[in-house]
Amino acid sequence: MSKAKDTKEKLWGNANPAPYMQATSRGLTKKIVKQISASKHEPNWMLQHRLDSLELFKNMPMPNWGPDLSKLDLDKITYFAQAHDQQATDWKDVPKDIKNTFDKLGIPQAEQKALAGVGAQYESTVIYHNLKQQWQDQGVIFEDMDVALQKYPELMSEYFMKAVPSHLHKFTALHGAVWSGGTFLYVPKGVNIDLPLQAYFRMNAKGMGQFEHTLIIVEEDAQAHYIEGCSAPRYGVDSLHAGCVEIYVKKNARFRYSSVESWSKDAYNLNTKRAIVEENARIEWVGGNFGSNVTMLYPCSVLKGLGASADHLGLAFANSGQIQDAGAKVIHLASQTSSNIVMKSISKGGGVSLYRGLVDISAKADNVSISVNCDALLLDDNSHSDTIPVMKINNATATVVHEARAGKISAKDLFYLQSRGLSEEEAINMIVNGFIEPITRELPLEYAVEMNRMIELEIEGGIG
Amino acid sequence: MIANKKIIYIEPLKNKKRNIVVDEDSVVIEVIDEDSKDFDKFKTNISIADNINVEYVYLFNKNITSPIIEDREIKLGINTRLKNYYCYLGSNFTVTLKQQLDSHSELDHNVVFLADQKNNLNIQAKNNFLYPKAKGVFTIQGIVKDQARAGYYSSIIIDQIAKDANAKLEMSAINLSKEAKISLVPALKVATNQVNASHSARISNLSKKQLFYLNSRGIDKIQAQELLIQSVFQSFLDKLPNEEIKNKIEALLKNKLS
Amino acid sequence: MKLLLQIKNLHIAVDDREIIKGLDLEIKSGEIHIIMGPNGAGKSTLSNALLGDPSLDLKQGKIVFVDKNISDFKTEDRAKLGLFMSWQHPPEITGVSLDQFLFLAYKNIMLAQDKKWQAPSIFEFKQKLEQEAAKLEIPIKFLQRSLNVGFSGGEKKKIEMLQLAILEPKLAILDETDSGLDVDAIKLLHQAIKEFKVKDRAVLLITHHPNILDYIKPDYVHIMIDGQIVKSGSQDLIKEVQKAGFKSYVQS
Repeated sequence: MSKAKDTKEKLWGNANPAPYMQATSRGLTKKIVKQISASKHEPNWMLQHRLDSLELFKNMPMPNWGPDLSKLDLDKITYFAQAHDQQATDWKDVPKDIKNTFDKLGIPQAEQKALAGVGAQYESTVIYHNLKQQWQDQGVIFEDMDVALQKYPELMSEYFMKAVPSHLHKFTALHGAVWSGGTFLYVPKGVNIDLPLQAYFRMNAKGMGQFEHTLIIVEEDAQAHYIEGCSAPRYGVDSLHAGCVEIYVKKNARFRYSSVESWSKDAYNLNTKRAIVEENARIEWVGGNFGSNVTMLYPCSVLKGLGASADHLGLAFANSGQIQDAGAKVIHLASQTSSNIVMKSISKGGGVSLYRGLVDISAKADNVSISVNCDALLLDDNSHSDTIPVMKINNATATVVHEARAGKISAKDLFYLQSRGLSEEEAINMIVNGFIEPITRELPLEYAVEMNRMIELEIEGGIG
Repeated sequence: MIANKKIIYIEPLKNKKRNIVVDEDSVVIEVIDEDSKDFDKFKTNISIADNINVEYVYLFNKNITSPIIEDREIKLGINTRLKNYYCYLGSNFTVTLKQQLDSHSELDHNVVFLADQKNNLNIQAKNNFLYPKAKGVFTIQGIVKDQARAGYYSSIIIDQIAKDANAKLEMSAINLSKEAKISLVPALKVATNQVNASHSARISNLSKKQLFYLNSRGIDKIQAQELLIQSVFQSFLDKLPNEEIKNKIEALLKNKLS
Repeated sequence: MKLLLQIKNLHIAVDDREIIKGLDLEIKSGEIHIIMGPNGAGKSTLSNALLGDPSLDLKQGKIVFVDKNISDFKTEDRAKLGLFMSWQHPPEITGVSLDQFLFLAYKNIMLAQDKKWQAPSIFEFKQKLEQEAAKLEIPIKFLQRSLNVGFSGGEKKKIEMLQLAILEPKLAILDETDSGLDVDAIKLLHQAIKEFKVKDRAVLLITHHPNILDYIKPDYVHIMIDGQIVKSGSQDLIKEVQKAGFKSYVQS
């Protein structure tokens, strides 16, 4: 048990010293918001948007449902720090200690052949971007958000925080005020990017909040796959992550958003992710959530166009002291839309894993078809799993099917594998891998491998 | 059906709060209709003793314009078998139903509902498995038509000490009109892994192809809807342990459909 | 021998695409007609059009059944006149039990044809149903199941046959009812068809069965190509098609 802990600590438990922290003070004021905007040389409309969002944030209450957020002290968080001013275009330009951290997490190998480009965010500034030449020629824009705001102001003002508006809830308002960095991905009409694009970032300093914004626009008939994964080291003070992902999938386009999130045990992960899907277009969400103290994550697909479709594949793993409150939301606004949700959750050692889903069919949406499948695996007696699927059906022509199961690893299956020479631990790992296979098979190999490794480490303590 | 069982008729509602105690093998029949007082809120506590076999038929058919709220709590004793047959036919109402299973108890909960016209039906059921080796099977079937609204929230909650609990929830709703609205939430909250729990929910309708098929057998649209409603109710009625109440519900249904 | 069905210059379209392009056909009581043709000829569209499938548009022409112009009639009213179609792919309808459904259909259709008809009780009907089911070797438990749910293709076809036996239509349109059935089931089906002729009803059979002539002696055979009947003849036509296929008819 201690061996596993050591390994985990080595991977995630170290932190680079952060000399830049003196620059900003804690808590959130108008002054800080103005400072953020000024340091990025933002156009006035963006500054105004930040200030309006700040007002909303101050006046909105905390959510009155979901896990307990009372220990989150919003005044103790640093909302902005600039660790590095330049953006490296080549790996060799990236500072050494940062490289070491990324090294441990396997970034360079991932970058080499399989991926098109890597954006890595250190604290709130993107320092490294590398876009492969061929896609640059096709007009694909894969840029960090701060740069994109300067280079493509029309695109930004057209799309920024339109899918996820500041007024949605307190944390989107916060995001609107202090967002910094993130990925801007624009795929032009008809372009097909077959290799996945990836951004990797992590939180570092104590009490550092992270508010990156990912804005993705996939034009008509285009196709792309984007992967986001993150990690953060252990710290005593609560870390807050209130990021935002907005995805626009235009007519006949197809987009997959994969993310493997593994936050430190004291982090609060309160992301808002939303996709707007047009006629005959398709969005696929593939995700794995690990770590963090509290996660509330409900990717939302708004099926706006005729025949649009959404696929939500998710895995949540809640270990001791963790709450994974995750799920999926699909809103069917148009006819002949369809959605498929497959959620797998694993809980262990008192961890709480919740699935909160919403499927909403509006009155005008005819012939909608929905299928939801949730399975919960409770690895021991202390674990906890909740499945709360809400179905709001306002149209008579809809067909909705929902199925869910909760239970433990079958003793018979365990016995069988052990009778073939596997140790109990190996047998459990094998069964758990089988349980999550529908999700891992949709992730690129290195992510699948990493995910399996994370689960092994999480389980390694032994069951019972 | 259990032969030669004692039949207990629960009196029509007179007080805002009632305690019903069932302590012997029996068939209990409770009806809330025009013979019951017009309370806007009332509470019913039912306690089923240990080691007995009870079949409980509950017909809710109150038709008043103002909404009614019933707060209903049922406790099952140890090693006791309860079969519920709940039929909701009334107008606007909200029911909060809480059922608690003790160890080794078995609950077979059958519900059928029909929400029509402009009625609003809201059922929130919490089924608590607090002790080991309890078993619960929940079968909920409903039909919504005209401009009605139906919301059914049924949660199965399995406590950490409720080892070897066995729970199965199946919800199915049929939507027969464009303006009707259905909301279903089959929730499952599990705090121990020594459990066998599942739930499913299905919402469907009468498609154009299905309607055409029935038409091609001489059955028109209205009849097709009635056929569907009757079929759903038939499977429920066939399980009832008492002829009298069965006939009463059949007559009420016929009335509603004409 | 009465004229049961008369189709005159029928043009049927789906989403503005014409599938039936001017079709004529006459069927008298006591006759067995067979329609053959390649895939896409419009055979199923024709059967659906006769039953008034709402997704089809009648652009031109008319359909006269038992002396009534049914071109604008609702589907259920056509069924009540004694028109029956055995579906190639019957839909599944969860929640509607077979026996209840069939009892209702039986009452509707019988009453429409004779106002003085007395409906049997549900028990009497169930007995009748069980008898007919036994003849077709359909297990009794199928009768209480939801309509067509969980049945194989062959079982669904047998249920269609059961309905045919109970509803006693004047004209039965059998759309590839014999495909997907085992040898015994086919024998039962073809026996039922023969009984039809004796009972002075009529059958329009759409089939691909290679040895259909071993079982049935049709009165007329029609070849349908691209939305029209290009050739009508006796059962010799079948032998020709078996030898030479449909190619020679496609030209016209």
